[in-house]
Amino acid sequence: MSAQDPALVVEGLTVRAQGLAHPLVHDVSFTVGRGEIAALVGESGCGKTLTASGLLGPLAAGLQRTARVIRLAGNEITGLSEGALRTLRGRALGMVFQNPMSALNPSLTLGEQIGEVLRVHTGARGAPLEREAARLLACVEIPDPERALASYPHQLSGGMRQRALLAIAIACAPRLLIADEPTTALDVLVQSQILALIARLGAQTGMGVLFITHNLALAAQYADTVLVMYAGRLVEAAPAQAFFQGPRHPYSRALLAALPTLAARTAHRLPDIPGEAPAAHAIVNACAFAARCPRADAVCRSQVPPLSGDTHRFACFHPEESS
Amino acid sequence: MIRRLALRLASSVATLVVLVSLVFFLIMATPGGPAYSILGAHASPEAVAALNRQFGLNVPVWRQYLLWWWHLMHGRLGYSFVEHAPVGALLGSYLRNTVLLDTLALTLAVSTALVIGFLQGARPATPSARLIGGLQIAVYSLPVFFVGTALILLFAVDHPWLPPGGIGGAGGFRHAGLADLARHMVLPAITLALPLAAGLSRYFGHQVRQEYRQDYVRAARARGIPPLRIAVFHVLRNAVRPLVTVLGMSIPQIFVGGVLTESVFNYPGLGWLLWRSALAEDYPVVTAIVLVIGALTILGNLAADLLNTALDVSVRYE
Amino acid sequence: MSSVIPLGRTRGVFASAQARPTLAIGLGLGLFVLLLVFAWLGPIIYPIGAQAIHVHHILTPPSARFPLGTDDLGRDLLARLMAGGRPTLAAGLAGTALAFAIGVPYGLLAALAPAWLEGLLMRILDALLAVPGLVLMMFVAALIPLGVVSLIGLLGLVAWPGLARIVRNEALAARERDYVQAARLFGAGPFAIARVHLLRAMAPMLVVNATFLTADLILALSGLSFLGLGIQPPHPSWGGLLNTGAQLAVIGPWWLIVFPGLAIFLAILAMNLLGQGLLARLENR
Repeated sequence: MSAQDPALVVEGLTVRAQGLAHPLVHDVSFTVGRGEIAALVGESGCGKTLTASGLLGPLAAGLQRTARVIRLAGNEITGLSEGALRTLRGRALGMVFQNPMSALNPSLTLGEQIGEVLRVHTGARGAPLEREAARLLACVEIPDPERALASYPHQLSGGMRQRALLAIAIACAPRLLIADEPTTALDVLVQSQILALIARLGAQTGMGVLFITHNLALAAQYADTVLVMYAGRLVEAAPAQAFFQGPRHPYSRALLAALPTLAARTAHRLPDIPGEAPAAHAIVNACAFAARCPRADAVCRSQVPPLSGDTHRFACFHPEESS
Repeated sequence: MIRRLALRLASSVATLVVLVSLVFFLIMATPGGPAYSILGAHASPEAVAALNRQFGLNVPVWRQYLLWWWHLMHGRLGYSFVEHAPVGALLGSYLRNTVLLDTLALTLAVSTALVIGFLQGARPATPSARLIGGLQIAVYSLPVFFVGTALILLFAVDHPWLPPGGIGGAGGFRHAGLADLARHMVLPAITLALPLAAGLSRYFGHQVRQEYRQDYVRAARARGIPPLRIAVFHVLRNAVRPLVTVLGMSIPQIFVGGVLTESVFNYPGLGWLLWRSALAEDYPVVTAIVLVIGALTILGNLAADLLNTALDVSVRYE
Repeated sequence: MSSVIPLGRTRGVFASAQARPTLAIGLGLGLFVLLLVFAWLGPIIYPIGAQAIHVHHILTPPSARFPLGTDDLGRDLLARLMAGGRPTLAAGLAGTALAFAIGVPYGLLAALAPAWLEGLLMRILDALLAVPGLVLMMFVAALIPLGVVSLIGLLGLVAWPGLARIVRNEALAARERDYVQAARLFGAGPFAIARVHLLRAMAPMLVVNATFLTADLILALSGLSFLGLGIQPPHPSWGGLLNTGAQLAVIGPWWLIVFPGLAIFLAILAMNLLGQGLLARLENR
């Protein structure tokens, strides 16, 4: 591993479900640099969460992952056994989930839950373990860490719980943090505090962040890279600035147009995307967006557009003009 | 917390008062009044009048009701017409035998239920889990008096390996050594434990399955916590908690199974005494046992509730 | 929970194979109908009477003439099983009906009543529930002699408190639902709400409970008869027949134990299977 290795390199990640001919996540490739925040955006059900849990698992029963390359901070992890993967989970890769209430065991104290992950991965015990747990809580800006260690999840507010989960996720100094809709269940003010905290932790430690969200406004505010998913495929991947200045995929453009803060200032009505996203496994040989796309033609309905381009990649036969 | 405790306690006391009153009025409401219950339905009016005078049953109902409470408060549960002894003194040894049998059966049932329920709940979609599920319904449907009789036939008559009943020794209560007692307890304990184990394991299996579906289990997996640790430290711990309440609530069920089991095996417990007394229409004994069972059940529910409160942090702090 | 949906959806694809409620419902219902046919149509077809005594065939094992053997008085066991099925099954069903007739209105009343009345009603329930049904039945059986009709009444009387508590809890839960709140805002009275909304909301749950209750009552009545306190000889009942077998167990006529026991077991199993199947279907919905 060298200092130049990106936090995460993924090539050809595919997740299949038993009994379904077509994959739920199809041939996804992207990179998350050190200290960088990559936002993975898309509608519900497009495969964002499956992509994230497909990296190291564990996957729900009946799901299978294949990938050409998954490199975590320079270390190849495809082909590792389940046992080896487990030692990496929580240590090389931290995860924060959407619902901070249910992701904590309601009958264990915060101290027990932070202590557990430290004990399992670092073998720490006793007083040093307690000190480390308190330090982590201070890191995520929880006031009075000593007292917080002895409290149960239901005694904390949603924001505090999410901070605690963040503390557990970064306990072993992971190279990559997956934050799966970490703020959807929180109110707006707390939302930005948590994201600012994640951004600061990433910048301080060089930890890469894969930020899964359906909220493009948040992506615009915090992301360095934007990855757009649609029906199980990556349809656009670009540096945040380039993306927000000129999205090339019609779907991305429609998403941006639907953003109230950016587009609706002049319009009286929020524009919406007509139609409904198809299930990933229902698409055979066509662009998945073709049915809802104003630019779609015969080609779009008979071939899957490849994801191509250099720094700004997109999968479209008739892209929007770059501005 | 104190307020909650006091409320819970008050509700238990109120329940007990209602129970005692209901039993009193049920006896009063029997055709002809309690005298007929004692003397039998064909007693002569003279005998009834004599008995009423003798037991103070000719005073107004409300005075009898107060008297009834007065006696209960002083631990006087009545006088057995069959055994010719105060009921209170009679119950002790029978109660001890019942507690012994029920505890043994409960221990057997709970330990079986924990193992089977966990295996079933951890892998709910496997054929073996489905087989367990079917067996639970079947075993749960087996009447204890059928199982008990069949076990006697198999292991005491056809293959005389174990005693067909009783508790050993000469007099019924004094058993001849622990080994002999154990031999007498094997069949009744298994009989009583079987349906209990089926019901509890089904419930526990469901709890384990629910617990495994929780987000925090997914989160713990994503943190690389080993499966065995997740099973013991997270899932079992949380799944066992409601089991405490269910155990408290199943005390009456255990006792009912006990009545039938003790009767099948002639095991001298409270249930057996209840059976013999009901057949002999020895109503003071039956009444006393009903009251004792009711009181024990109310206490059991209270204890389970308090224990659960102590275990359940979210209730404690709300 | 937007991001969890794909996992949930895929899980849904595989979850359908887990439980098989239809099989349980079919098995349970079929088994119970079979037992009803056995008890009601059997004696019409079968030539030997339940009370007929065959003095030269006392305690004979199953044979061509007596398919399930004879008892200690030389009566045909199959005929007695058929005859004994009637009171056992009928009492279980009728007791359940009676328990519903008392328990459902009581539970609804407890759910809708003002606090003081609710407290009283619930303490009465707690007190009755503190004494197990069978013990209560033994208590009453010791006080007064019982016939089949009074036994049915007794079954209903010991069964209704448990049902009433379930109804009350279900009603309390249903009362909080938005559409019931809305109905109340639009001025619907408590009885209209109870009839139109609460009962309808809990109807599936009540059906499930009816099956479990029938199983419990068949067990309770058989247990009581087994103890010699229920249906009295010479009237046959499954519990009473098993009682005879148990008393003779030492001399080993296994058929007097196995067949009556099996009959009780199958009746209870049928109802439990049906109930579990219905419950699984209810939870899957």
